[in-house]
Amino acid sequence: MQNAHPDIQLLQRLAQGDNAAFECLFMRHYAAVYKVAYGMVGRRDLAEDMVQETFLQLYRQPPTLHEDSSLLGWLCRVALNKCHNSLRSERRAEAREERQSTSPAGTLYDPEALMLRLEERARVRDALAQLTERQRTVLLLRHAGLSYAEVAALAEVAPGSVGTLLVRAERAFIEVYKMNGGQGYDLEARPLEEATQ
Amino acid sequence: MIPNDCSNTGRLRAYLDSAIPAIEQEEVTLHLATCQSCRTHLGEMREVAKQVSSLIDRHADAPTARIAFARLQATRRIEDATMKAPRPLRALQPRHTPRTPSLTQPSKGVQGRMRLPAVGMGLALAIMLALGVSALLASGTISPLGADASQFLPAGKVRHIVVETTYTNSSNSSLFSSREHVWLANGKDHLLMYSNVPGLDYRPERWQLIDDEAVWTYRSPRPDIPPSQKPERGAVILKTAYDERHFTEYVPDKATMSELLARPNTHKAGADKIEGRDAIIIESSGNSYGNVSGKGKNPPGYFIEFEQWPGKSIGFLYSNPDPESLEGMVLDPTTGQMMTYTLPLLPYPAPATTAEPYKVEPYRVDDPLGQFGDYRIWFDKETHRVLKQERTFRFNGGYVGNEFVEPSMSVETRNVVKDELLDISAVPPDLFKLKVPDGTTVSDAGYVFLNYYAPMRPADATPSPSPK
Repeated sequence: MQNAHPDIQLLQRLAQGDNAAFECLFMRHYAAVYKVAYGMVGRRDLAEDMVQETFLQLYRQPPTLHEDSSLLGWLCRVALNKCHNSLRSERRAEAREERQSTSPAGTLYDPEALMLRLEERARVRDALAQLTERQRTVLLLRHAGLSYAEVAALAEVAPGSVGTLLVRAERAFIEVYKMNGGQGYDLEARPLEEATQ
Repeated sequence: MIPNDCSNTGRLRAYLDSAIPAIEQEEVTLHLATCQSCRTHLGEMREVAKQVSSLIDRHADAPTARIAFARLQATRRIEDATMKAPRPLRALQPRHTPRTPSLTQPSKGVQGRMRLPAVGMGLALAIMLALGVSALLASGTISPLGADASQFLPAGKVRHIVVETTYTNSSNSSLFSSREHVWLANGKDHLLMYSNVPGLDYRPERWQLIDDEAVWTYRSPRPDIPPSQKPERGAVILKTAYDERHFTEYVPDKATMSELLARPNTHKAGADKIEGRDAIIIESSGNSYGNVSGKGKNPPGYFIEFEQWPGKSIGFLYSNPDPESLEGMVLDPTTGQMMTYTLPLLPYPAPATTAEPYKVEPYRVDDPLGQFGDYRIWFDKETHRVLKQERTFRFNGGYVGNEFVEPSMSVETRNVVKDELLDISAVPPDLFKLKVPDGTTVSDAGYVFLNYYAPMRPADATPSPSPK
């Protein structure tokens, strides 16, 4: 988990115009926020835009954090809002359609690996898309490193239900991923409902 | 509660994440010591969670934070420049009625052309123009500013050209295809180009607005190149055809000049026939990195620009035919210094020995460029329409990330698969949207464009206006 203390210090410096503090905050949290945004919108360019706007908002209007809140939680909330707004403005189908342009750098000269990777991405994207919005949110936020309390607050669920929702989301995710040809953990035959009672 | 209830999966999952109070954590631990079923269940959850995490991480494949931060900084700089710049729209108006450049019709001399005082100012002016015009188009209001825009712009048509590109490996097996989209504003005096080759993922975010006086090019920084290896000047390109100031991107240090110099180049232009029509052909061949562009001494002349990231084509641009010569500038990729040279356009088809060296100053290097492949484009002689283009990359070497990689794949651009004239309103909104500082997103302007650095929309922005 993120240690809120350095974030608060950095935020104070940022409020005083310290650009280096902003850079530190960016470096600390960019990857996690991006992961959430990308999982939500399913498009690399859009996710980058959303995350950039999120950090620009941080730069312009740094929040005041309390000891019991984390900057990562704040960033994820802003990013989620932006992603939702963006998706609303587009047709869902288009928004979630990965462009071919996101072929991963580093595999350019290994076409077979490139194609395999593209396929896997499509499977992951589809699996995320199959989740309910709440499941997707819980899954992405938790795997971005937010605490259960923060996940609960952002997903608007009871804190005590985060674990259950998370298990349900993870199992559903893996099942769809495997159904689409992915190599996944071999879940027991136990029905999801039973497992998540 | 004590988690001796074996069906409490949520609690067990929280235990896995140490997300329950310490006392409950201990209790679960004790329970697990005596419950094989829960231990099995916990192990399964751990494996699933691990795999999900791994898949999500790989799926996201986030750009490095350093690169993203450079991009964000650039956005802020552009915003600052935009906010500080005066509103020079009047100065950017054409001083005459826009006309259509022609191969046979000389263009105006340098004196009649717009001059931009400096790159920074010019950039700000161009951005201001785009932003201001777009805002007005979005609002639908007619104002003096709108009148300026109407003079500047074509009449609401956009041409869409799609070129199919196939990727083949060394055994000539087709691997996959992508399509490159070129969007041209109607009329040759205003041309908008956006090129993208999806399969290569270079995301050029490159937009060009061309009239018969100037060429403005904007480009985002390469998101996949660490900023430590990418000087700031690479962030934005602005140039005019007749008063060129040219910035270009960085070439990683392994692409040394000696490597580039080891490769021959030819650049030819001439007449040809294709599908029974008189055509003009421009052909580039060799292994190059750099930029070639016309200068004011040669009006009218071919205006060629080809920019090659090693192994990756950035784009190309052409205008103002001149069958004889070009002058251009190129950035020495290893020193970052500008060189000027004269580029002869040889007759086409080229004679057997076409490797006419450039005259380069100040280095006197015979061949400062290196283009990774061959490129040919045919224009209809009368209409300038693109009749055909071919491009072959031999990939003599290129960069994947920061690593210089020997190639195993070639690219061929073969077919113009679509060439259509669309109403601006038919253009996909995403393609031409422009975000302006007041929070408006313009989606129907057509000729204007969004570059990667466009000011971001405030959080409380109103929804985008519908295309008119």
